[in-house]
Amino acid sequence: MKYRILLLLGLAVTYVAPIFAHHSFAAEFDSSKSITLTGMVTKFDLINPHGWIYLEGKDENGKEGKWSVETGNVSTLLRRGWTKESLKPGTEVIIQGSRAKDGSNTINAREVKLPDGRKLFAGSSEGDATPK
Amino acid sequence: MRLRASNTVACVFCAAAMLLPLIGQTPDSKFEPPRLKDGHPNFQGLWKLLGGWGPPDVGANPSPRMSKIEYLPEALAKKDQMLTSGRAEDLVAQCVTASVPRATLEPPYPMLIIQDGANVVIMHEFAHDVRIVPVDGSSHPKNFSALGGDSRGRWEGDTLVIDTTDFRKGIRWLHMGGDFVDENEHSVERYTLIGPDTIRYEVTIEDPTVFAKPWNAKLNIRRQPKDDQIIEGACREGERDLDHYVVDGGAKAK
Amino acid sequence: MKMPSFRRTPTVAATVMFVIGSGAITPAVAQNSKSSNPYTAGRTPDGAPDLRGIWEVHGTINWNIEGHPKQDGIAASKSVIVDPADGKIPYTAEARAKKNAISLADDPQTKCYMAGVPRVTYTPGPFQIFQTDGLVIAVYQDLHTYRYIPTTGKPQMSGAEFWMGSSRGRWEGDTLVVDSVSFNDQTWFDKAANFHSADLHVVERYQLTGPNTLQYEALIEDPKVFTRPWKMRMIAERHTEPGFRILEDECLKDSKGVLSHILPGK
Repeated sequence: MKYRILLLLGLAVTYVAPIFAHHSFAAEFDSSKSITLTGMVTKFDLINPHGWIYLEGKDENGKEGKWSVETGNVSTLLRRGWTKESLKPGTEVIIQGSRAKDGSNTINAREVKLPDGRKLFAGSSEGDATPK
Repeated sequence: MRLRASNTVACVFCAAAMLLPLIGQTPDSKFEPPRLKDGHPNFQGLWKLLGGWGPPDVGANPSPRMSKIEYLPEALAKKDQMLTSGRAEDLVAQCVTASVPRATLEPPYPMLIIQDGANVVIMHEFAHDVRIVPVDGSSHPKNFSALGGDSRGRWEGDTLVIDTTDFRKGIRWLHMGGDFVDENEHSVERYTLIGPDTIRYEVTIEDPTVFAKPWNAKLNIRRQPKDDQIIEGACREGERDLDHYVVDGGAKAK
Repeated sequence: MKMPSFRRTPTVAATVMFVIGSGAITPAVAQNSKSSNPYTAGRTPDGAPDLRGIWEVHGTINWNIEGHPKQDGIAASKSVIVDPADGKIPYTAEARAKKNAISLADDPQTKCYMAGVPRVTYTPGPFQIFQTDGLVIAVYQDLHTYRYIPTTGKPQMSGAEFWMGSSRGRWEGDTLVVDSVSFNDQTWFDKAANFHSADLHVVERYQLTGPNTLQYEALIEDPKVFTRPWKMRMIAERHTEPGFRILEDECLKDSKGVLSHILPGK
């Protein structure tokens, strides 16, 4: 149990500067434009190079709509305990992330919070970029 | 909660434990590696670069793991143009290949190494890149070019040296910060086991049409836990980002 | 190499071998004798049967595993399905109707997607089998696809669906048996839109029938699509040309945005 805590804290510590390891981030997302989405999952594709959570809901300004939320890739998510069953259609989630530069309802996720309070780190930036 | 104090201690401990290997320490005494039947060191297993590699390493204050990258003036202009409007041309964004040495370095993903005496086979997760590197003393072929170049391995004592040249015409990004190489890349990688679970990886890159002089990086690659395995890295099949790329100024990328 | 068990004169047999070697027909006939003349494989340094080397299934199976006439300059091919005996895939009625409605232009292989199993075996191009202690690796030239096949009894990967599935190997005598699950439903068995669901389960058997011939069988099970399991069988031949190796195969868009495979150049 103590080892698991150390491991989890180690993972938490190493996850800094996520932007730099994401191959498409700068071309696609704006890290200064944060978003909090509250909604219901309609589909979850656990695929590469990024997983995709499709949901219907609203952002922090109350804007309703259909959203496409990008996560890390299959091996990153599997190694963090996600499976293709982690987000069944109908699951209510709260997602923190960054907005797309092209104005579409496309988000790069940092964190996905489940109804039971558990947080899944979305690993949208692959690898463990350690702080310098 | 009783956990609070130990959280802080654990956090500091973890930070220190994670950072120390990054400084690039090598052990004082020579490590005696496990060996294959042919006597060469056994590198087989699942490995991953420790830490990331990319913009934090390069730039104005490069990390101690890298020597300074100096561009030729026209190459530097090319780099700026690529960062501004050329991201969609990155072969990694297109899910084609991460090429050499990026497949090992960035983001990074795990890699599987096997050896059969005549070859060292390195398999990467991203875009399922594969390098079948002959260690049979053969030379680079004539009249040959490929996206991943041609790699030939040789042993210098217990160090595996992989020499790669003959890259296909065109630009390959080294990481998403825009450093790049072209068809004149010549890379020399050196893999040395410095502990049961650590490979010392040194790569020297020269490219006379991009860099004013060769540069190098010295990094550690760590063995993954025994219950882990290499996981399929399909990429092209699920690529949904390129449609959202914009160039500076907000216009859609090609 | 042992001769097939059915009676033929040496001259006819030689002609059959020549025709097979030239890739003009699929050698379905010569393969029916698999159990009658087992060949004892050599051993790897770890003591496992030695299937290592560079192999290739010649012919045009990839166009239609149920067989097809000569078309568009592509040589004809007989069905590689050995069970059921009529050489036809035993679709449910619903699945057969679905198959007939699929557009051939939707072939995932034309988008340079990974071939899946067993299609990767007979997609044109060589593959190389590597073996190390407790592990078989197959590297296919097609899109530099590789398969990780541990023989240590490690549990299958689950929790996601993969283009090449999750594979686990075991030895039965000199035969490598590879059990694969956790597929997605995206791959086809050939260009003719023969398809499966994500419940696909494939059991392959790799067995040397001579120093340079590797018999390959794939048992296909998918109760969502087929009325029963069915099996294909074919021969892969060893590449013995000096210096032959798997080459890089990348898929790139040309200036018009059309994808094509690019092998190493000058």
